[in-house]
Amino acid sequence: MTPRHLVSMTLLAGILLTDGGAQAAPPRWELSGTSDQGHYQLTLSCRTPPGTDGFQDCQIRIQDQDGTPASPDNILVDGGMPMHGHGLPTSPVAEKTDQAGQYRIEGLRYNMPGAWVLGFLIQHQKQQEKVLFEFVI
Amino acid sequence: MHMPGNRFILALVVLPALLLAGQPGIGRAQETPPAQGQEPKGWNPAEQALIQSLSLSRLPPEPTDPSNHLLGHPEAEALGQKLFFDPRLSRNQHISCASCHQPERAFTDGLTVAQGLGTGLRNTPSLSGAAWQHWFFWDGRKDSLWSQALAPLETPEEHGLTRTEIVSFLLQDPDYRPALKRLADDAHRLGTDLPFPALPAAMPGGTVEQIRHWKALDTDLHQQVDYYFALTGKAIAAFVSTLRPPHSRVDTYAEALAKDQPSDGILSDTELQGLRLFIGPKAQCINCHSGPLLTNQDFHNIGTGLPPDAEGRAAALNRVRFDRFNCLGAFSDAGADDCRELQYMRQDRAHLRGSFKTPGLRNVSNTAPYFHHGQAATLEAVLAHYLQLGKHPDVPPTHAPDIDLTDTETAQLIAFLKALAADTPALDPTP
Repeated sequence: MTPRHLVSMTLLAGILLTDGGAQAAPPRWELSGTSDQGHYQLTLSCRTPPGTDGFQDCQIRIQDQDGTPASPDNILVDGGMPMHGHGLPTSPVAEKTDQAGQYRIEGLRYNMPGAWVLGFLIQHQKQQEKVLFEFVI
Repeated sequence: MHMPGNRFILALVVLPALLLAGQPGIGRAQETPPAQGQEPKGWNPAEQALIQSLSLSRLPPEPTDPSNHLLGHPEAEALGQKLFFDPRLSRNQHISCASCHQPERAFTDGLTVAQGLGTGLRNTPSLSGAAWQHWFFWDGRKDSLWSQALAPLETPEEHGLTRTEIVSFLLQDPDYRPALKRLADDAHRLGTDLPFPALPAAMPGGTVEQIRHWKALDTDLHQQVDYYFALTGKAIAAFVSTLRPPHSRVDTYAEALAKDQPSDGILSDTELQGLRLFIGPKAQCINCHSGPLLTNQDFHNIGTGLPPDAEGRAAALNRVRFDRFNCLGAFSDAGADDCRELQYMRQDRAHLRGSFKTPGLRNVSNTAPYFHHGQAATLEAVLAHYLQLGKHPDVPPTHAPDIDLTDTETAQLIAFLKALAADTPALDPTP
């Protein structure tokens, strides 16, 4: 992880999140990071770790500096393999859900093992900040 | 149809690739291959997982295609088999699907480019395992097997017919008409005695005269012709979907490993060393030739996109988006949620220029010649192409890694590829 990419990032892969201790939820693959300008905290949460066998079912949660769910004007998704010089095989999108600060990622897929970058461009009132995640499939 | 946003990562992705060129990859098997002539000594867990990922046992037992309700339908499969081998579905009555997709040649033709009524543009791909894929033709201009099956029928260099001629023939034929009637839905079912009208040679994308005749047809007749045309493609696809790839020695080896059974002698030492190269960081073949069909089913620029066929996937984007017979079209049986490949397909032309679909490698030694233009006559020529990429400063950059292999390693890799061969079961024109 290079400093210009990300201030902080937390990997919570395979951790069982419990629902009040009553019932174990399915394990999720999560990455968290702060945007390059420091105004947003973004958490990528996926049902499964990234792989090469189909679409990845993911959501993002975005909060401002105070921990309040944020509602930016737009969020763009992009990614690729820096070592190979190519991008994602698809054009995924972030779609707003009913819950504040939560977006569903549609159309996210990877097509080969190796080192990937997945990025989110947060656009709001003519400003934009990005959060980049690096991981290996 | 979703429209893509800015590609804000692209510069980030491409620039480091140039800066980091030549550095070893990340996240791939890092174990040093054994010295030449030395027998591989077992596989680490990551390598075992990669070997299993190539096994035919990982291919779902049945293909799925929500856009084709006839998949798995026995009568449709039988009808599709008859259509596949029927040369009457061509202008000169001599060309069938099997003319280029010859079962005895692993459903290819052995030619540089396809030869139908005329000379085609590209090499004929194998149909074995085609139904498990999600893009069709070298440029992916079709998003389903049934939609793909329709295109050659109307292509002047292949079957050379028009849409109305095909549908008229089928709906007047004493064998095909009742079969299609039974497979049709209630809204399109033909009356018992109603003959299908005689129509002029017409289709929406042919000659000026054919297009003019098509436009002159009633809208309801357009709908009826297109419906039965699509149904014909779905029946052919139902048959082709039964062509599961045959089992190779590589699969036998992978299954023996998975079951912890003796695997000695299934693959030779040379083939095993080729397998190690295939899945390892030195040759990096598995980056694109992954999964049980040995293709990631995506589009990459490997330096084969040369004039006059240089655009590849870039030129197919709008064709598949606006195809009347695509997954989101009126003749698809899929819901919108079933069409994610089409809905979220990558659409930036600049990045996809010169990209072609990664071909599967099952039975690869029986499907020469190679590449979309068929210009590599042998597997040796294919490897020679990859080895020269990145070696010449005047060659535009590609998506392929810079690979260096010794002559011995090249021979090992080819030996492994040949171990993917398998006999294709004999097929008759009649089911």
